Amino acid sequence: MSKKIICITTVIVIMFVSFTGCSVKGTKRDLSSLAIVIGLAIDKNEGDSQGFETFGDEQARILMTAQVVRNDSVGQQGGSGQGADSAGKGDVGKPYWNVEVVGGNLLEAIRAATHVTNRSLYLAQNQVVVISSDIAKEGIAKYLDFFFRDHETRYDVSLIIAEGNAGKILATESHLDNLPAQDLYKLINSQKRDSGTPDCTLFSFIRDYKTEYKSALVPFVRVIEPKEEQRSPFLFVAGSSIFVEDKMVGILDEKQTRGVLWVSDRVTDGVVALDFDGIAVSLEVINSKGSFTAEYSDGKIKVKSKVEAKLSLGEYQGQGQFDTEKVKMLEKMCEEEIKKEINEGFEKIREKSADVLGIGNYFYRFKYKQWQKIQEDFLEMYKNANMEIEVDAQIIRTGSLLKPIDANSGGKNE
Amino acid sequence: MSKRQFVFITACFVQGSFMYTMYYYQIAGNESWITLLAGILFGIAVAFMYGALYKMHFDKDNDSAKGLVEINMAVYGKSFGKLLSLLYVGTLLLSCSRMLREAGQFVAGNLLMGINWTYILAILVILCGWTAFYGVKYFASIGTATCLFMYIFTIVLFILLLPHSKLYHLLPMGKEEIHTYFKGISLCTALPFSELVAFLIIAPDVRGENRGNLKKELFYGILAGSPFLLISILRDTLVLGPLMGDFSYPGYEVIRLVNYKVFSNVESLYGIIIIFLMFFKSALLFYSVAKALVKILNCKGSPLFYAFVSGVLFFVSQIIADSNIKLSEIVLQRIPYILLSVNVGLPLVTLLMSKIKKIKEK
Repeated sequence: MSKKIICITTVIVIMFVSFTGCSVKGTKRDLSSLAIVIGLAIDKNEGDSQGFETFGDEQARILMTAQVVRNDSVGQQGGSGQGADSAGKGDVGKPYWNVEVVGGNLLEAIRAATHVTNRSLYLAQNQVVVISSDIAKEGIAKYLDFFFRDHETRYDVSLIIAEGNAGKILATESHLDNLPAQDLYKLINSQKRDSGTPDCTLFSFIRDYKTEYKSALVPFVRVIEPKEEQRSPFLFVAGSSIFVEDKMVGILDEKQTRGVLWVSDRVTDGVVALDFDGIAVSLEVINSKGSFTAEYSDGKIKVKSKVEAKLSLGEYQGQGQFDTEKVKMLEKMCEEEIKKEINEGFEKIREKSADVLGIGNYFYRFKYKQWQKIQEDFLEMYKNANMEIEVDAQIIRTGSLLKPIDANSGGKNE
Repeated sequence: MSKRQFVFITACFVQGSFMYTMYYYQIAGNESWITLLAGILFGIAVAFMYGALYKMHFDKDNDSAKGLVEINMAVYGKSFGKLLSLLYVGTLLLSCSRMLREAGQFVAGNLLMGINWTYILAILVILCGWTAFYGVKYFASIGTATCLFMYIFTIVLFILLLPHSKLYHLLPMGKEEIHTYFKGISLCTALPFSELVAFLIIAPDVRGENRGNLKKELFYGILAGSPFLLISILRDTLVLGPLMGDFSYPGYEVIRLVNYKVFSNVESLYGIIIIFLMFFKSALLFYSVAKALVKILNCKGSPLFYAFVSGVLFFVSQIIADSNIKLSEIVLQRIPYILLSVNVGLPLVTLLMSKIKKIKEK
């Protein structure tokens, strides 16, 4: 028995010690030898190569900005400033450093970073990948190859498209967090509260890209520069960029994005604002379910979408009794509003030939024989597809009030 | 080992073939689970054939069992029997070296970057040799726990990956050509079920009542181990979808998506467990190769002999392919046919010849 235990234990210990790199020189790495990257931005390199030697086509050069955390400065306040770049003096006191490197491709750029950093970039803690809209219009799949091929990178990293320069996004100081990349990551995650922006990770994007006839929506971020000088610029995440294959072809605003998300069953939260005969009403989404089916007949594609939404009355800026009749009227109005959002969203994506809902994928998966017939002409048919929308909105709660707070006017009881 | 232990080491042997799923995806894509189900049915038939062959040559009166080498010698004569047995040794050596090569490359590529994979291969080969020298009975005793633990771990990970799963990735079904299904089923039957021929060599180590009849044990072993492969394939299909065929190790890459509260970055732990499973299977294959060679060469299984076999294994593991892409090509295009011919075709012929011999004797 003891010989058995010794044998088994020895084998397991040897394997665990050997294969976890605890003791093998060259595999274990101290924290101080790593430049922990928490945000990565990819832009086209329009300036000179800044001294970096790259191979290949000059036109294909990219500017990679890696936001590296300063281990000793994370607990301190972030430096003031307007988002200085790595060449600026304001960078030194900050809890992060935006390392800007030019390279022919991502891996070359990451390795070239060793020319300016005294440690190798460590990407396992990266939270966001920001790509400029210029690159997005040309295609981003080739830049994502590195993230899936490397053993360190993770696939659940948020993917975001930036209006204009992506490096500027990582340089925009946060009002609430020390690290702009972390702020951006939390900002993206908080969009679930509004559902005006989709969530998109590297994995979900590539999975949609590889799915035939399925397009992706990627969150869109821009920097807002207030007119008042004393106010700092800030990040604004709203709407989404439409992708066909891996190229950005357009932008959806918040309402249009949510219209698409209603049908895709990706609305988790949000507010539906209504004008109820001059009264401003807000309905909060508690729960929603969306689905669609597609049919093909007489050379046309017809999509039938169904949305069920459960809402709570969040705000009612009016007077008078609030009874079941009003609730029904509000539900009806809400249904019309949701239908309008869906229609606008669908119109826009149809106009761009972007099958974000996955109608082609629906035919491929569920109606394969029909798909084989329509596959070649699908995109043409998609542009002329009709959508029938059925919305069932239910206001199940009125919050903590039964009557509007403005119900008593001049001290008189209604 | 007892019959129960035999069942569970068979199950662990099947579970240890987890890495083969990456080859299944290259052929059948999202319908790999269908080809695996068919492969399991054929595998059960193959296992019954092995059981029948073993039972036929079991001497009930003297309670003495014949391993595969002795069976070949009894059916084909001493010299030709040994020659044919060398074919089996060759295929089992090929399987073992391939497993160790893949294990070494997996560790070097995903767990221990920066280390030459040959060092990892050397460690694994030495461990296999050492384990085989002391007898597989020690591993047989942990087979039950290993098998159950793998299921618990896999089911937990499956549940954690449900948010990423899309049921429609299983569709459409029946879209492939007939020859694709044929190729897929051949692959699923060859890897891993045809490798169960190794158990014909180690079966004489089984003790207990009616130890000459191991058909049920092989059947239960396949039933106990195959759901693990099926769950892994379903998980990969539901989560990865069209990306299944793109990754080197899809079963490992999918675990990197697990990110729920404390359950994140679990792929390293999963990798270690997978390596242990692969080592378990490799050790069994090594043991069967060594035991068969002892019978063929009529020598003692001394430490030097096991060291020699380890050296041969190390050498074959290195030369089997130049790169993982070449290895993948060999596995997809050549290995199934070699394994099916030798590990399934030959035993079938041996069984038929044994039956004819028995009828003639009567």
